[in-house]
Amino acid sequence: MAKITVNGRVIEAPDGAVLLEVLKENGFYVSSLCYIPGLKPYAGCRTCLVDVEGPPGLQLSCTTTVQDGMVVRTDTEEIRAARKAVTSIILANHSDRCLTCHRREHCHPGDICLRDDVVTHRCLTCSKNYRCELQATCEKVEMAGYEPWVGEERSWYATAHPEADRANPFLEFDPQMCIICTRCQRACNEIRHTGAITLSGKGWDTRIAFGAGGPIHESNCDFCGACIDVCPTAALMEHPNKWVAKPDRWTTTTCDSCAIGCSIRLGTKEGRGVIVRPGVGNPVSGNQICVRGRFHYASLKPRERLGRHLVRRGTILAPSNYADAVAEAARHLRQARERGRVAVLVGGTATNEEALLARIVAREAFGTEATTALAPVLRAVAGALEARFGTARMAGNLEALAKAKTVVVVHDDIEESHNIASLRVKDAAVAGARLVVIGALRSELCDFAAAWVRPAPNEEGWAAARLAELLLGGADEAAFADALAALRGADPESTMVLVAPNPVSPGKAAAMAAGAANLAIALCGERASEHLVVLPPEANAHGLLDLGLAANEPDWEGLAGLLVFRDDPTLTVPAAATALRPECAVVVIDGLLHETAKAASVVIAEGRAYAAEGTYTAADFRVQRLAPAVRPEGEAVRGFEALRALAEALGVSVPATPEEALLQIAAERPDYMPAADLIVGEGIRLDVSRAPKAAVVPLAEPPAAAAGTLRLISSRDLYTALDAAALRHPEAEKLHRYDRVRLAPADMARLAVREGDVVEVTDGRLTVTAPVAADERVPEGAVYLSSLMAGGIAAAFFAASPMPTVRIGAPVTA
Amino acid sequence: MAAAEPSLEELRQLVSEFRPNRGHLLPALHKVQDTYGYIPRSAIEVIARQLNTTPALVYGAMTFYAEFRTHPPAQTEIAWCSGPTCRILGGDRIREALEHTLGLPLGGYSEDGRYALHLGQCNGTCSEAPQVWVNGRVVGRLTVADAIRLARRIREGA
Ligand code: SF4
Ligand code: SF4
Ligand code: SF4
Ligand code: SF4
Ligand code: FES
Ligand code: FES
Repeated sequence: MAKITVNGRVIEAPDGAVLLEVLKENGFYVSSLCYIPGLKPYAGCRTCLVDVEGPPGLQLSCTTTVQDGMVVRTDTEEIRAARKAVTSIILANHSDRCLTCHRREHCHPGDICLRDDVVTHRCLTCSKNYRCELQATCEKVEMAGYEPWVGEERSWYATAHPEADRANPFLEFDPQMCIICTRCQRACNEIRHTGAITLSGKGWDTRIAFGAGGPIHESNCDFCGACIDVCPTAALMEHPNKWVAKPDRWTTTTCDSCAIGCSIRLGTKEGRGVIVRPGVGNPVSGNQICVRGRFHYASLKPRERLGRHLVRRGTILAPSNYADAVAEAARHLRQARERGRVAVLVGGTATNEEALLARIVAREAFGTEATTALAPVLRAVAGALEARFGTARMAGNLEALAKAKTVVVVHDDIEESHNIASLRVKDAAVAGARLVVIGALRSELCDFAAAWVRPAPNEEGWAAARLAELLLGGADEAAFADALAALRGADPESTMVLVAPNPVSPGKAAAMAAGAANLAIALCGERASEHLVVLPPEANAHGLLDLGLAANEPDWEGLAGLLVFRDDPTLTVPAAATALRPECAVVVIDGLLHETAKAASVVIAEGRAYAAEGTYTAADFRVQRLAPAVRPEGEAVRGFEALRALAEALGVSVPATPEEALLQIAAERPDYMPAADLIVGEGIRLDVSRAPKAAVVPLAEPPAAAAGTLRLISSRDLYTALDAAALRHPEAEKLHRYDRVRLAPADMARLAVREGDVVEVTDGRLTVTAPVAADERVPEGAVYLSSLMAGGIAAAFFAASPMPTVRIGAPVTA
Repeated sequence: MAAAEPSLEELRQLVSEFRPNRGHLLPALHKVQDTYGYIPRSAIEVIARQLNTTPALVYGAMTFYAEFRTHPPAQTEIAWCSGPTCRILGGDRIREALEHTLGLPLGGYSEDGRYALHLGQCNGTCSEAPQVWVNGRVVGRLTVADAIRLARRIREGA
């Protein structure tokens, strides 16, 4: 620790720390328009001037490091004048009227400006007004009335500005507002390792550009929004909330879109989400999230969610009040129980507490075990792991990922399915880790890999198992040469194996888990389970596993009743549709009128995960808290409350609050106890112990595929929103990349189809019709369909055959 | 008008000799420009993949050097100097005159591809300021009237 004196006050700081950060942490104001905490300083804005005793002149505090005995001043007249002068240079090429206007405090949006002929050139009509870092900086450095240039022509006002890019649904770029601080470029490059942004041109003509200089959506941008978070002006803004993001409340909660469990801060206005920013304190997500976390709060318009409870009257679902809907639901289910079997199904975004209630209701009222549509995949994966480790709970820690020295990923494409895990893998690779990627799709991760093993489509698991055999047997094989070279001699302590089992095919998922497990054992021996992380489909899959909901699969045939909580099982399990017959009494608790809800006798409207209080168990058995951020729409209630009321109507006693439910879970699984005093955002890792054994078990041969046709690949894509997909909403994938049939460019040429041609994909029995898109990720001889496309049709292909092949033909026109 | 854009396959062949991390970016850009007279947008992606980098990085480098063009050259290329001396001596008015008379913004191409107007950087011949370059030849000490006459001549194809 060093002692330094700032404006006469003595403070302690680590030797070598960045002076700017130390000053800010200790409450000294220093303007800084280009620095990003944690990254190398760029020293471009030159507004962070301070006076350090010793060297002549003023110093940039972002490039100065702390040394013991340093004497610093941040508030001298000289500094003030210099800061203003420097800021004025930045303002020379910005819309600065309101920033330096002496009467800006009296001016309101809608007022007529007393000095500006072009009314749009001002903060008061800017989307970033009142939340703008440049504006705040001008305020702090007292720019009002600082106009030494009066009478001069100001370049910003004299220049024709390039047009704004508003062509995509997520990210708007308005170069007029850009001050070329390059923060966005560095965030995209150094924090996200994406490199979608560049500085183009030079001198007077320098500009921020995306990709090859075209619109953003034609670049390799993944719309994570990291650049928006750092932009100090209105140049980069979220498209959906550019004008409305004036929240009256911020709530830290957990993203409900995958099992990484990133922390988000959800800004709400009158109970509705209007903006998301990354949460803080989460050791895995840090200050990053992906496009789903940032934008799927708005995947549907409020009026597309259910705001009323519905009860069937003949062929229509009529609105009902809450008490009647609950009573009707209980009556239907009780009668069904008298007739026969009742199944209880819980969706992958239910909290642990909600799942517990569903489980109690299933046992007490229907004498059955609650289950989930994810059960086939979760059970297949658990089976593969249990055979090798004696347990399905792996002790690997995602926090260790970014610092690992050797990383193996067995996946379809975690860049798409579990984006922030992919980001941490890139962190490791950029820091020098040897990365081996096993997957048939050309993931972005392949660009970071020392070796990419590209098996035949859907044979990832077998390739991983083969690699494990070769490692253990010391033999070589040409297809694995690079991978073996990268993995031999790896230090087990700093090795991580990640596997994202396929969400649509239990057989493929089991092989992936088995292959990855064998590989982890080959690399790390008996401690393998501590170096393996399974990334399951959907946010709370591991919570459902821990609560026993994945232990058995629903038997859809001949059900007399079905209670579904926050899920549309027809989207994941094709067989679920067989249950939706008139003889089966269906009760749905959900915020969406999806296919299952449309067939229901009663729909109790509830308010999705962002309205819930409770916990999720993320991929690496990290418990994350959800805090109620949004208000359920209309008369809808919270999911937990709906389940509690239904239990009461069925005469079953359940915990009254989510806290009580968590305590009950902890009574049954003591490792959940610490979660009771969990800090929102940070999460707590459960104490998963090392597996009792670690034994390689060979895999059976992969199923044969029919020859001469295209193999079908399906996995979770990055952009489709789960809830909107359940509604079969045409905008479920707003970029319209994954509501298409995706083919390798070479196959498109061979089949003589062009981008946008509408084709039929068929296995002879099932058919899906959609436009074609070229995709360099897809290997030749394969077709890619997103798992959520067209009502989850891909799962039906995989249900029909473990290694499905399809043909492509022009659609038959009527 | 320029010939159709080269195919991706052709471009891949053309840059196949270049390797990542060896300072091959500028040679690759030069080779494409020498072959086609400009750098087609699709070549940026091809070069990026060949050199295992991002299109943005290639684009950034390409736009930094004034000699690279993203459009087939026009018959008559006019570059307006944006340097400080030219601008102090009324360069902005010259630019306005050119833009207005030619009906093109900076960076614009006439529809028939006959003439184009570009942004130029000071090349040290400030004694001739304010100036433009017509196919690389300095036309200096311009008045606004000179600029309008010059632009009309080019527009009319003289
Ligand atoms: S970006 Fe900020 S400083 Fe610029 S006009 Fe908007 S609010 Fe004002
Ligand atoms: S949204 Fe993310 S990927 Fe896209 S440019 Fe910004 S930082 Fe880069
Ligand atoms: S877009 Fe924003 S972050 Fe990027 S350089 Fe411009 S002002 Fe800075
Ligand atoms: S990585 Fe997963 S948890 Fe994180 S923001 Fe994206 S979808 Fe949400
Ligand atoms: S923050 Fe130091 S120069 Fe910009
Ligand atoms: S008072 Fe500031 S622009 Fe009008």
